[in-house]
Amino acid sequence: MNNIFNVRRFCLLLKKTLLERPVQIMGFTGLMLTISFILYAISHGPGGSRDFTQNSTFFIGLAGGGSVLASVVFGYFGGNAKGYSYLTLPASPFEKWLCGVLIVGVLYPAVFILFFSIMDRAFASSYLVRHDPAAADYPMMMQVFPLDGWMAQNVYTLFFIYAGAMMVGSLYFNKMSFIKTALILFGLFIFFFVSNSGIAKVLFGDIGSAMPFEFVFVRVGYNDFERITLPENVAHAVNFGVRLAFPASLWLISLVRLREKEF
Amino acid sequence: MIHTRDLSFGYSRKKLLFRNLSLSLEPGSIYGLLGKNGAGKSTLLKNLAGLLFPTSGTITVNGFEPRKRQPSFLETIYFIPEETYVPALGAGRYLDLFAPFYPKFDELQFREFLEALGVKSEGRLTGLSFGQQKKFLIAFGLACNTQVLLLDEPTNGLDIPSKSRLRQLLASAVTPERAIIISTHQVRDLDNLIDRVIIVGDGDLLLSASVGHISDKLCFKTVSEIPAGAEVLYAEKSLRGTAVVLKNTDGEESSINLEQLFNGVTDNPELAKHIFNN
Repeated sequence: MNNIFNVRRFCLLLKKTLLERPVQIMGFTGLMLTISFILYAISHGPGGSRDFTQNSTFFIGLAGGGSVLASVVFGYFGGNAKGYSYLTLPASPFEKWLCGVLIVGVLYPAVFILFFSIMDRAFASSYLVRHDPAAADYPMMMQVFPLDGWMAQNVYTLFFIYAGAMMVGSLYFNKMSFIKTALILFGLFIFFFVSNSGIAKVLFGDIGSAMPFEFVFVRVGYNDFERITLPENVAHAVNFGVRLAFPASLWLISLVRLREKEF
Repeated sequence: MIHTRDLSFGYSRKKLLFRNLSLSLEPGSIYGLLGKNGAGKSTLLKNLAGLLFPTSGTITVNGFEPRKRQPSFLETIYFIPEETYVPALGAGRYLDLFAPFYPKFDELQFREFLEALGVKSEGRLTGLSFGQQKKFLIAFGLACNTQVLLLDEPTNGLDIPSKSRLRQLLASAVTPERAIIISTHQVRDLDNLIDRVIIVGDGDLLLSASVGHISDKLCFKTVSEIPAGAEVLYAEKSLRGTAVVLKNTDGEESSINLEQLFNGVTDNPELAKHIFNN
């Protein structure tokens, strides 16, 4: 018997995972789609900014919903018997991890992005019916697929970081893992912003603002600022670290943690 | 089947719950794992199931190292904890989702076990009482036909008729290929069920012996006066005299009283070791 991966066993595990807690996984996905639709519809109304509507709905739906779901897929350790049942189920730790990764990293984003694209297209079309297509503010659909654009650089990165952190958190904290992990993430972000700002002040003196790993605005006149960015080669390395290596590490740590989980 | 060698475990490295435990459990028996509260009975079961990892020493169960939690190992073992977990599903759906992981699962047997334990499994499992959920899981665990069945305090939450039915069921479920290990502090619940006794306490293995061996070594009786020179493992005054557990020097036959044996071994571990090692 293959003790690492077996297709039949993995299919059984996926079926069991989806149907054992249908409310938490499929119900939650449905809830996130509904919330996204309502948010989009409200922000899209009179006085709403279309860019803001698209970005915020996409961010909340993908990164927000994805991170909550990530804390659920391994969230078996809130009760003793539930945790024992999960860990002693005859499937390998790799299969259990892959099942979680498939739900959080593939199925949920696929469903959400498909839904979002349809919703975005529907709203853009309805706008078109009522307005002049030649107008300057003619609505554009959000470009969610090109991986070199804003979306890939920001929302997808945040989604992979948040979801990875939540998966790791749910395997470290048995109770209230989502809240504990969210607090740690929040603390880390505050730490990075404050320490980055402090370091930038020490290095450059009078600064306007500073974004960790990206840029710093340095005062060059009474009311003028110059944007200083990282040298290109350093920026590439930092980008690789923040956008790829760090999220990938979190997702892999969850596998190691699941293998070594004692309960 | 199950071998532990110099097994030590503690929730912190400074304070070990048990030290250098060496134990061999063979198929075809029902083992009673006895110990006071906090003696580490559940912890030992969790080590055997691969839920906790030894601090030092080794465990092999059916030739596998439990801590790796390989599917081929997990298929051979079923752990029924003291608490219950059932998802918000009907019994049929539960079987559909969980039973395929156990190649030897027998649905017909499962239905028979449910009937024997008096479980009405209509509606969602979460709607059942604690005792009914526990009986449902025991029936499922038995029907998985794993080589090792671990039960932690299985009689907790069961009413008196259910305890009796459970004893009958477990007695009928043991086969030459299967070992059933029952951890409990309610020793009376295991009367006439187990054929091997394991007693743990103070981080040590105090006793591991078959019922026959215990009968050979000890004599359980009630006397008006304790015989002079007898090695008394346990004595308890009662209305009819003094219930004693003595070293069996004359080959006298008596039926084992698990509660007295447990009290004697945990109160006088050194004397117990002396009696059983000689």
